[in-house]
Amino acid sequence: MRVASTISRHLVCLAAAGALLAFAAVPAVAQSLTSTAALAAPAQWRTTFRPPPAKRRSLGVRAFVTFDVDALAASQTFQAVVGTSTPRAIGAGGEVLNVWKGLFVHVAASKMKETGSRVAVANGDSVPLDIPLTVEMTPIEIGAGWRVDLGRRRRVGVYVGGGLLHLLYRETSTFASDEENSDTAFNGGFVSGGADVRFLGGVMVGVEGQIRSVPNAIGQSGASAAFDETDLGGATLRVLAGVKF
Amino acid sequence: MSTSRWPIASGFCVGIVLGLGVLTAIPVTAQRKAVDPIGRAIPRSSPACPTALTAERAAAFAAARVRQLDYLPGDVLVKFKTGVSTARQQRALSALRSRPLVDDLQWMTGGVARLRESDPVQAAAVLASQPDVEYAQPNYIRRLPYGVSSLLRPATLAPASNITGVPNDTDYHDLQWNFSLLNMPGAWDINPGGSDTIIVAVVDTGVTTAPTTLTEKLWTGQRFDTVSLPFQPSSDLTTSRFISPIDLFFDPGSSATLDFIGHGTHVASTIAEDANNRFGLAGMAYHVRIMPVKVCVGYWELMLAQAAENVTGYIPSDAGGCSDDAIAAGIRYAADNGARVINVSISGTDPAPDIRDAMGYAVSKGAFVAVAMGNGFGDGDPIEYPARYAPNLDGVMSVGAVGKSSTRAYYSSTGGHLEIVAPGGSDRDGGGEDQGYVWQVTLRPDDSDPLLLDVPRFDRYAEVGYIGTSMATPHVSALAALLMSQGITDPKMVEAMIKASAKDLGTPGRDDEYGAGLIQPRTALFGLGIR
Repeated sequence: MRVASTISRHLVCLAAAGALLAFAAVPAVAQSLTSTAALAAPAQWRTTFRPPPAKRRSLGVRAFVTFDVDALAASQTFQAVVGTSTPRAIGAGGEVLNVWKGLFVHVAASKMKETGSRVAVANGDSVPLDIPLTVEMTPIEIGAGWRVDLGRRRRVGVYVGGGLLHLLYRETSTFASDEENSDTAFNGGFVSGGADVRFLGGVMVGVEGQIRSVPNAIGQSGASAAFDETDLGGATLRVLAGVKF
Repeated sequence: MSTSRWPIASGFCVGIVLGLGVLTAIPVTAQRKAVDPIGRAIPRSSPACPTALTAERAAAFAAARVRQLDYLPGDVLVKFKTGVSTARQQRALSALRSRPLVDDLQWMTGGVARLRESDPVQAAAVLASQPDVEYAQPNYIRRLPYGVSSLLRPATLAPASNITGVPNDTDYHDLQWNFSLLNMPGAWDINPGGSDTIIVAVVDTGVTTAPTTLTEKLWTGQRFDTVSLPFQPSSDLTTSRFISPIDLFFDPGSSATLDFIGHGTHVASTIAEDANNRFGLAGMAYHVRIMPVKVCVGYWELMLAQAAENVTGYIPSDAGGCSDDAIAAGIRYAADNGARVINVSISGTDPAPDIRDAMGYAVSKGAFVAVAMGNGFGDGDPIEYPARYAPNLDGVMSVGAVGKSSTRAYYSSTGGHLEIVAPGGSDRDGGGEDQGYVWQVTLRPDDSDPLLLDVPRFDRYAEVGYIGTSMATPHVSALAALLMSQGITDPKMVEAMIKASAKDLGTPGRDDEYGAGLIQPRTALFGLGIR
């Protein structure tokens, strides 16, 4: 838990710093180039010279599949009920690149499914009751970010972003009535940062970190109330693989 | 086979009281052979088995009733502080005017000793003030908080055509409103009757565990007659589910127990009466095993004890009860012999440090304890014990009663020490024909009514309605047994789950009338998911 928390803090800092750098650096660099050109140019050229237009980055699309490891904020709850607080998820998504300069738009969804048992909880201890339980979470990410491609051939990209999270949540148990099962959705948000490498043919692989928050989704009852945990978010480490069109 | 009830059993009693061994129920007749050379039954030796019902002890019970005492005349229980030397024990005893010797003490389980004093109240006060004494108390007599319906119904086998629903016991749907109130069918979907690995001790009047006939001398008004007293187990409590029965009072040498009253059988039946056998009624945890622990006696046991030593005359019909030394010994025995749940449907208005220590010991051994709050609301609502100790002992729960309408039964004691409520029934809540009582198969009351009979019998059963916190308590014990069947081993967690799943009644939150609320077995057994 402490490790996850530390990772979370680092990822938040990284993402925030990256976002600041990206948003601050790009206009400054552009302004700096313009000023330098104006000062250096001979006076007679000033009215006639037009610097060659920057090569406009073409609109692109990339599609990818994802493999996530989630470090859930409700770690005690998930550890007690499904035996892990770091479930795996697989998903897919797509991005529209270079909407305006480095701006991209991001859509992705992933699915986590774990099975466990309902539990008795008291004084921080839990005991499984051998009543099977399945929990499925499907976070849908809609967001945007800023991307900077690095290197002579621009094969390496780093990016930061953020957006809204719409979390589909389903929890079912043996013996449960319809009212006792959950099939609902919650809204939250995320920030992310990552890097990827492109190879020939547009194939890319990358890693990404996300901090998610889905506040007050749990904690009203159940084991989450017993452990006083309310957020269905957490930190996510994501591996992506895809292609760019 | 006719038998006498007075075997030489002192050594066996010591072994039992020290918790040396687990016994299974075997026919009582095999254990009852000891008579003196002229064929007279031999009373037990009280020094070796302090709680045994000697004629002297029976007379003390009768005298307590006549003199309106709530303790056994002549008995003081004392516990010295840990590590106190014999010399210092003697110094403490020397504070008494009678100056008893340490050698005169009868040592019992839990480091408690009993001594004889003419004024137990004063002697206990003197001893309690000694620096080497942890506590001292009279040997209080506690009562069984219950009442009995004047009606009864024969327990019958249901015609095959009438089998509907679950359970299919003949009169389940007609009489067992208490289980419907608790949605027991929903709970049984999750856990059908618990596990036979779970033992529930019923510290009470005993449960008849094997058929027998006692041939005894009994005062019948003009003379002593030799009478035959037949006993049969309940036909709706499978005897193979009895384990390690013990009689700490009436017949300590026996490997079986006998119920002369019906209270212990009724309580055991609420917990574990056979279910789905198309017969009679059902229990909540009908697969668990029952450990009958007899610590209470009534009129007939006392009459037999006196007659065995040629004491003539009748005693008050309501004489008897459960002495603190026997209750504490019974709880310790149960804990030492594998009981995971201990039901104590017993209460009284005097403090009971001996029982408190025994309950603490039981929890330390992994047993959950349910104790009755008492029925004293109409008598000034005094604090009753051992229920008063429950809030200070995680794993021990005090149980109050509600009627058919889920409102507090008019008799059910209240207070800050009330932790939970369960159906105890009420004769003012539930309709005619005593429909508001808690019904189980137990001994027919009219077969042993001392006001009607000189010679009782204890071999006939019927569906009988009882009310009281005595009846509420086994509902909680049975729920604890079901939870333990689900895999919960910590009695503290059992208590937490029962409280957390309770249905809040009365003032929102915990209150003095309902505690945490009405038990919800299905909710408790269903446990917790993520949200």
